Amino acid sequence: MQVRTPVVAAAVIAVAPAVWFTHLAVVYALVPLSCRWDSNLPLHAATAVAVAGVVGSMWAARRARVEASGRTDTDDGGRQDGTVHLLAVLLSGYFAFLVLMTAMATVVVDRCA
Amino acid sequence: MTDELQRAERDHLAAIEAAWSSKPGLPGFFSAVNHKQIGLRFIWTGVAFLLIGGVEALLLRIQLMRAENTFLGPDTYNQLFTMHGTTMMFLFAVPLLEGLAMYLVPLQLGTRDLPFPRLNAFGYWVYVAGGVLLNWSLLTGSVPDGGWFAYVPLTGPEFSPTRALDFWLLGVTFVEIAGIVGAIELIVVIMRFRAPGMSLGRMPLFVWSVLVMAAMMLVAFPFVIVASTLLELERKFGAPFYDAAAGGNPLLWQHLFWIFGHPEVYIMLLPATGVVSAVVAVHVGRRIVAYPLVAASLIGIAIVSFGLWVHHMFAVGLPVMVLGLFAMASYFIAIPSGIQVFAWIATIWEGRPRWTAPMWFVAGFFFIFVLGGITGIMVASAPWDLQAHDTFFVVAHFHYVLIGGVVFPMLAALHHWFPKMTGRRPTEWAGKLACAVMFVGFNVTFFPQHWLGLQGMARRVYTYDATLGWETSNLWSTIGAFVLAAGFAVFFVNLAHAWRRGAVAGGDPWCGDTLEWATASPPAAHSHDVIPVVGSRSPQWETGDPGLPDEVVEAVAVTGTSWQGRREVIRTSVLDARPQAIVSLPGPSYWPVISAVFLTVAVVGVLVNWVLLAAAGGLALLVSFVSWGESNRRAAAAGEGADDGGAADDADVLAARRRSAAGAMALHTDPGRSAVSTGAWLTVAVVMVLTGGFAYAYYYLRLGASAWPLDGTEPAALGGPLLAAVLVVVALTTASTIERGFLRGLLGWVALAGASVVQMVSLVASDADISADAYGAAVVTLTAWALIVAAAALAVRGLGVYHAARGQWSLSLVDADRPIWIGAGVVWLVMFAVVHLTPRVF
Repeated sequence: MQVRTPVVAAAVIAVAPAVWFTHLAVVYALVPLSCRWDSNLPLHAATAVAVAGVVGSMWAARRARVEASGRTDTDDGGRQDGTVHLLAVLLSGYFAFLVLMTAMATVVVDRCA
Repeated sequence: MTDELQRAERDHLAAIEAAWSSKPGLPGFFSAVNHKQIGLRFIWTGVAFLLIGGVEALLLRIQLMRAENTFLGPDTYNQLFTMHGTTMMFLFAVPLLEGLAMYLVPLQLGTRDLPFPRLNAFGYWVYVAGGVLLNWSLLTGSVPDGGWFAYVPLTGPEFSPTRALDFWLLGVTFVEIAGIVGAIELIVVIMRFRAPGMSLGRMPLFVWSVLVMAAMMLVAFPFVIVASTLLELERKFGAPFYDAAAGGNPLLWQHLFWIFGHPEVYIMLLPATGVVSAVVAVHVGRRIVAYPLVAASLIGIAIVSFGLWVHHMFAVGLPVMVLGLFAMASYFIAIPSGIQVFAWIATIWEGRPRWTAPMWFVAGFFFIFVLGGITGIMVASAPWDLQAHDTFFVVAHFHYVLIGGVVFPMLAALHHWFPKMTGRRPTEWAGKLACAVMFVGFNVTFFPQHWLGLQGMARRVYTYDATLGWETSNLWSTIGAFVLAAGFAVFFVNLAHAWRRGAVAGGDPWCGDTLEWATASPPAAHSHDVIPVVGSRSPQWETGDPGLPDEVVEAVAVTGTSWQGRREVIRTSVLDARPQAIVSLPGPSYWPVISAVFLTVAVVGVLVNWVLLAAAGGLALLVSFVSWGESNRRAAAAGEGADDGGAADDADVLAARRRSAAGAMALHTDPGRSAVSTGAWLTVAVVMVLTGGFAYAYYYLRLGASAWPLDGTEPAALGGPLLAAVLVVVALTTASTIERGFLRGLLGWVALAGASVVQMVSLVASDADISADAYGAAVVTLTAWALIVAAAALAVRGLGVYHAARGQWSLSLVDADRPIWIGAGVVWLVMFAVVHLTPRVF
């Protein structure tokens, strides 16, 4: 994958943060339901999906970075900037950690309190 | 160099200077649009508000220095802490930082101005109007007193019946609109007008921080506008959004406000960290360590800050697990913040620091901001927050964050870039003295407030009992406040003295690394004599390879030469900053200030119930906007430059588009890639966020209600709204057709106009009542919002079609048409889904 347009660049950077934010919102909404159902399973399922998404985005960003570094020439003979790939890798790692840490609350806190 | 070459160079420079010159005297003052003029006005107006807010703070401290003091009465105290917070948060910090960005970013990017200079000037005058309206109440004696976050029901019609709150809401909305205008300018200039070769990875970290700040403003500010609009609708028309007795919910205000309010802290903090990165690099003499990590940290902080607003609401009674979720997220924003701090420390460690006055302020920032960050981690813990909530501990925490994290870097910035702005150097020893006095004064003021909070002293109490044992700490705090004020006085007296009598600075007094130091001090109106080509992150220290073909580099050197007296800049690609086109910018104009005045008149007329005044102001505003657009179009045709590109005639440009004649360094000819198009898309993004805010309010109220509509009746008939939605879909199919011919554009216009009429008729027939209950209020508000956006799209398309029918194409209207048309259509369909489908689903 080559990042050639601003829209793709924004999308590459935004995947992991979007997954984190969605996870936060979904778990927020699921808290009353998990209390009603007497199970944390929905919360853990949401976390598992989020972790898969954010780790996947990190893997994709890293792969894109490797690919882009292999063919850096642009159409007009200039060099392509790899900053977007690098930022995507760094942010994916951070948000993967953040999803896990946020989810700690679903492990240690009483769902009905 | 031969005489002929020297003469040619002089002529070339004279032509550029003539093209970028402004009118002298008062006409020049009111028609100014240059980014340096507007940026400096934002900065010094912000400083003026800092002084006002500072005096208010001193009055508050005098009142609290003794137990049972009678210096201020409770009402006056309430008004003063409200105006102090409002002034500092809305009128001082963000505008000053935005002004700094407006001044510096084009210089650092190697371009000559912001992309929409007249819009920028309009933003400044709207900001001034907002500031005047907010402070007008001080003269009339009816002053807002609901605190800077204006919680309902205290600020609702029942407990704040005077107009003071209306002016507060209006003033805040004005200031936020000005902020959004500036943010769009900054994003477009950073994305589209960087010097050739300045890829994203070569942008200065200050520019990164401004980019992130501006993007945050586009998302955060609309939420406070939504909150204020809903409150004003409640106050003015009885729409009970926040009235629990009629299906509303006071907590809705807290959610909407803090979705704005928490990111607001980082909107101020991030550019301040960008300043620190810039100052540290220059005064240490080496590039910042871990540049990609610092850039990623800026983005990470910005995004996470939008997921933390609930930690301001820990005390409202949310489920404990929800508190845990937001507490965890709040803790871990410390990671990217810490990365930045360690990067600066590593840079200082690795470099050779010169302990100049700006570096003293940076050192003060380190100490105070880190302490504020640590207490931030403490209050992020829900159990701790429940104890410290609304006590002086929180007051101490956020002053450590805001004064340490924002004001100290601001002062470092003013001292650091003052020589660039004025050509004169402030005195070093006086700058260091100011820093030392402020550092001592600040800590004497605010450190005791931690203890006061832990001892149980609540914030916003106008006095306290002598037996509580708070007097000594309060007395120290007041003494510290006056010492802090003395530090500010030394700082600004130093600047004032330097302005008149400071040593001449020269172009690069600090041996800086970024492009602003390549210009004269103060810079000429056109900033750079030759548009630079950039090959490294520190173009003043190392040339580097720009990564551009030689012929492109040669082409850059001979462009931007003010052909036919135009104000020319080079537009470059978003990712790699490859040159794409020459764009000419509009010159001085009175329309921005005139439009801002009429906008103020119209809105004030509504607030004070003077229908004639409001109508006259609205009509005048409409005329001024149309005249403004027309003046742009005529200026382009006359070769004076306009927002929309540099061809001799817009019709020629459109013809060129049709022939697909666009190429590198051609005139602006490529549809969808122009700065106007980018700006229009960003405007649409703001409109989408506003729509999201209204929809959020709707669903928040819906989820809290047992039945919807609240009285258990059926929702309004679907037929009319469905027909309107179909017409909107038809209109959307013409979104990208206006430049192919005015007839298809006209077809879309008729479809959207028809949809608007059908929707209005349906709304009237439905008996929806904005004041009946929260359901009626939400339905009417969302529908009205969709109609307003559609009216704006109809106006843009209508003008475009009008000009096209006369064979006088307006390129700005053509470029703006597609984004605005799509935006209006999407807003409409969202409204249809929320208002008309939701009640039928759940």
